[in-house]
Amino acid sequence: MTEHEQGIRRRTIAIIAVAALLVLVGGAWLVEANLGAPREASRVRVTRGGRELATYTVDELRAMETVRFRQLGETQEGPSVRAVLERAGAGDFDRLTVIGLGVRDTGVLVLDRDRVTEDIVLDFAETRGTVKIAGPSITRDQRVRDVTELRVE
Amino acid sequence: MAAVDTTRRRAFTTYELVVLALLAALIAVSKAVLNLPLHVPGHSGAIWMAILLVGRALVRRPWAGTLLGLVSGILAVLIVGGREGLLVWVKYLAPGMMMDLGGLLSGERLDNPWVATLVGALSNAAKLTASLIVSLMLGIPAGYLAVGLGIAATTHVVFGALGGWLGTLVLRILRRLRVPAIEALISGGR
Repeated sequence: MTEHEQGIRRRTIAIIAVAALLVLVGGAWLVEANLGAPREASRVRVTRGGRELATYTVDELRAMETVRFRQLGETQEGPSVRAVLERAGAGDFDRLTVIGLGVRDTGVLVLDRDRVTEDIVLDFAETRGTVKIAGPSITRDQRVRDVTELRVE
Repeated sequence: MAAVDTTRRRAFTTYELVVLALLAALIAVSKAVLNLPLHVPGHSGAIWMAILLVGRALVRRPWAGTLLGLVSGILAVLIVGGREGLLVWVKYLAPGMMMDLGGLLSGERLDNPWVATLVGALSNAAKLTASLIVSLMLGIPAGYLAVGLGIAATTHVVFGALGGWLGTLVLRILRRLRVPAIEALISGGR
């Protein structure tokens, strides 16, 4: 193969590679648009008795002081649930129900007040732009992902 | 020193295997220790792809990238973990294989910034694709995986490209340092 032919071959491969990347990225956006969760997954509502006390976007949660711990080899980091509830004016409660989209899990976790310790956090799921509930006392099976509501009673 | 076409020799030398093992450890450790506060999916690819590219460009042999990816993946199972559990190694193997393919199709020109940028982007995208396939195989619903997929694919490509480009910078610095051991490795003398 001559140098000129090799040059053409390499250019063709480069064009195919760039096209493959564009198809991959475009396809990902298309899949998300068709299968992805609704926008409500990117915000967390704090409610009591059906009344909304506050709503926080993931960016607003990110701006709060975060707590960090390691569990099952993974770092979990996010604002303390207690701090979020106190900021929303819901610091006084007996029971907390964490509600998520329920796509990968049951979508509901009920915690009594004494289980909502400072190290129970709303961990940021970086690839998803949502939060999940995590804590040293919460097992992987109990986790609620894509949290949309913190309901206090 | 006479240059040897290392891509034609089959077996790895002990020296090459040691270099690949050290770089594989560096990949796994960087993934576990370097948590850049960027909050963007795929950002670790900027470092990870740079190390992979340097490894594949130094050990210019078929399957060197695959081996590098496989070893770093096995180490990652032990020290990093992830959504994929014990199958997390697949996520490391895929970009290594893509590096090999890039090296093969480019005529071993991974030290060219344009080639490296493109191969880095493809490799980080391959990592995301492998992760999605493993997650689907593990029964994680597609609807769950689709959340944030568009931005994840975009940032994986961008950070992978950045990693590839960084890799060529590191290679250029290594060559400028004229370390005999590295020069011998590139020319196939060891």
